[in-house]
Amino acid sequence: MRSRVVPAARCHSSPPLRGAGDFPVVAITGSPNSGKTTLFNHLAGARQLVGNWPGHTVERCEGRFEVDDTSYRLVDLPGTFGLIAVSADEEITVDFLLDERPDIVVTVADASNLDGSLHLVAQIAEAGLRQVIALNMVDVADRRGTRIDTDELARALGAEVIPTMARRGTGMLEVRRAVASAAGSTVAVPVVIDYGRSLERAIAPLVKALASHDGLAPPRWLALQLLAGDEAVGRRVAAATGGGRILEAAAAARAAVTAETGEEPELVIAERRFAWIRSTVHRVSVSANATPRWRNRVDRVLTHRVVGLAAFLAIMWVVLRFTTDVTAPMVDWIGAVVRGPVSRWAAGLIGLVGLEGGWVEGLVIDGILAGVGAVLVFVPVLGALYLMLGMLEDSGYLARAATVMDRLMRAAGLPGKAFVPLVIGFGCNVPAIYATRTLDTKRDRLLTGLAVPFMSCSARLPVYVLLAGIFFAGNTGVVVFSMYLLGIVVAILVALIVGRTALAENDRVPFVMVLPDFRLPSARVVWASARQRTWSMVRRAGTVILSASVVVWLLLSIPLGGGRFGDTAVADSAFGGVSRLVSPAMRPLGLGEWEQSGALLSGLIAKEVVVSTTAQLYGSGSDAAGQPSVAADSDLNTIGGGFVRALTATVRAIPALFGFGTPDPVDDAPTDLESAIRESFDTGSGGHGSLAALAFIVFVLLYTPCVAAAGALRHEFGTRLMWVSVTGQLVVAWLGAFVVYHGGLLAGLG
Amino acid sequence: MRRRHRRVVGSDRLDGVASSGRVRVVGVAAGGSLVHRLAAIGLVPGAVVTVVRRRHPLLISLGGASLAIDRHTARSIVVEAAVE
Repeated sequence: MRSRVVPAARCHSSPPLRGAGDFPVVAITGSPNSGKTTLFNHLAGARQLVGNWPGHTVERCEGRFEVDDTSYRLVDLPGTFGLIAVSADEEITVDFLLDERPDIVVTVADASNLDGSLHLVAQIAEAGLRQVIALNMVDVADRRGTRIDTDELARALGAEVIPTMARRGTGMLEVRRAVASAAGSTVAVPVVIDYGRSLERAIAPLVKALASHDGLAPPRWLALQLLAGDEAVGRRVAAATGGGRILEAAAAARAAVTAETGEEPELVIAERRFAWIRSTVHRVSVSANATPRWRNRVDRVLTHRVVGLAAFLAIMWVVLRFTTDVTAPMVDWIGAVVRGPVSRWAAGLIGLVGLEGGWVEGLVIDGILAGVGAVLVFVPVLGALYLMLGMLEDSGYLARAATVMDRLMRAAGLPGKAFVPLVIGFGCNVPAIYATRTLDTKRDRLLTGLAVPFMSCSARLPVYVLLAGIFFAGNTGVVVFSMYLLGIVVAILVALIVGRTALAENDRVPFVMVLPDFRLPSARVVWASARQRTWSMVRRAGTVILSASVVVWLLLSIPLGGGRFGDTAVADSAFGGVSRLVSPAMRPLGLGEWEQSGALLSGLIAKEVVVSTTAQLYGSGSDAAGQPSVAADSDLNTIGGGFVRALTATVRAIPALFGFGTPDPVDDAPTDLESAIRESFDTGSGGHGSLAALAFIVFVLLYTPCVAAAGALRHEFGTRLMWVSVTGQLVVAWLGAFVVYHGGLLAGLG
Repeated sequence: MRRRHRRVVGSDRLDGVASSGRVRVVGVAAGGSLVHRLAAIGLVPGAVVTVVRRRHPLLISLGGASLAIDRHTARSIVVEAAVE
């Protein structure tokens, strides 16, 4: 297997299958947007991300299912339109099918777009792979008046055809049974399509020469791929004995076909194959299958270069308002619960075992609860962002957004498709970097990979919300929206500059985008993906952020000067020492306080750690532990009553998104933490606290996202490029913050 | 890389069709990965497509699928009026 295939352990929920080697291997593939991933989830019972854009399944996921006491190993392959790979993730599929020769391939075909889906099905049938066809979305086809004779289709394709509705889980049992019965049969008879006189004349001698390569695939299919210019098959044939001569013969045959037909052999092959498909479809189905008129109308609007762009910005605005404003009451509630009852209970428990006032209390209250709690507070924000992203994905809108953005992206030297990884970057940069595999060329992948880290990931959001809440109360939405925009602008500038210099190229990358059907986002799918993504963030709070909080607390507790462990002034601690070393470099940005440098330093581990460190740095000394204990019924009121009040406020904030009604006025008095932060930013900048806060936010937006993102860059592009990228991000962040701070000073702001 | 394409009387490029409506693809004047891409989605000679919008970005339907294509790519697709 190629090293590029990500091990199964990376797939969030499906466990790597140890010792699964003996089970029959069932690969599942299909055209993008055929509902393949949903089907995989039903078959494997695994919970996994489902998307609605071409080439979404970037990581390799595995599952297992049983039929009559026999286990099958299920491998989810990236979607592809055909067996000649163009992008890196299609390569994964083709390589797997060629090299692993899975026992059964379950190919998912879209019944509402039979012509388009059968191209892959036909090629897999020609390649002699044993196949079960899941004819998905039969309900959609049915609504459009298409009737398909599955028995006749099965005869034409030499494989069982099972009607399914993956979204409802209908037909899964039948697919499993069909897999079992196909696994029991002995041979797969390849489908043979007549490619016309000129091509058949080229195929015949190649088939003879390739007869000894029968182990790789049926000779006729190999001959076809060579004539079509399939490099993946070419490499494999060349590796075998006598392969060189066969490739020469194939090149000569290609030239002959071109001379005779005036067309690339691949086009002639595709023309004949689609003609075969059309005649097959005509034979097996009765169809009024035109694209519904309303869909064309909506597409006209959504992909219009002016109106579509306005719609895109409006949608993004609502998404960001939703994630920040609507969730604000919930954020306050969790914050109150963690700071109040939870901290008091923890202090009480520690008191019970007689450790109050010692370093244990410091570790739990100032280290763990302050650090992890500060991040957990933002779980509603992340959950809301993931819900919105999930809805955009599942509705089919993202492909339209990519179309609208194509012209802008192209102006930046990026292909329109690069928009999809960039948007994923709003959620998390790590999967976004992996998603660059859907792009067609190495150059596009690299350029996009360099641009992705500037996209404002969800971990940066808590930092904006915290600081904007203090310095720009009432305008949090505006600040956050500008940060997202600034991130996009910097990403584009980086792509533009690198694309015109180090990676200059003249060829124009074509834009051809298949727009998937619109569909009402399935609550189940959206909820599952939001829950999974949010949960993985909470898990990070339990691991990365917990460890970072403990490390920061340790550094805070180690005295450099006098004092003893756990009882040292923050400024005299080891953390203070390290931060002070970095601090002079940050002074020109209006960030003269060493606490600010310290928070940013810890953010290299993960951006959300900036918030937890800030809370630890400014919060210690004023925490709840010192307060007198409050009666338990007051705690219950904070938790229960507070939740109800937060829920009411959340619901009431929704109309404000669209400009109706007014959200509740911000009425809460600043907490101790907020006052401490404000004071520090004012001191560090000599009275320009708001500008310094803005510079700080800009720095957080632009500098290295986290160790995980750096790791992903290294995995995809190598160590050297990772360092280039990380250094570049630090430089860009410093310059960006400098411009914002001094620009603001010159303009007389702050 | 440019390639010869079949000369068809009355043929036109997809980006220059006179009005929205049905056209038949008769050739593709391109090479390399674009041909792979077009071949995979079925935008090949013989395909009948409905042009939904002629201005950039072009919208066409092909079978049950909708496609968005940039003008530059559309220029390399040779079409003729489809007579049903």
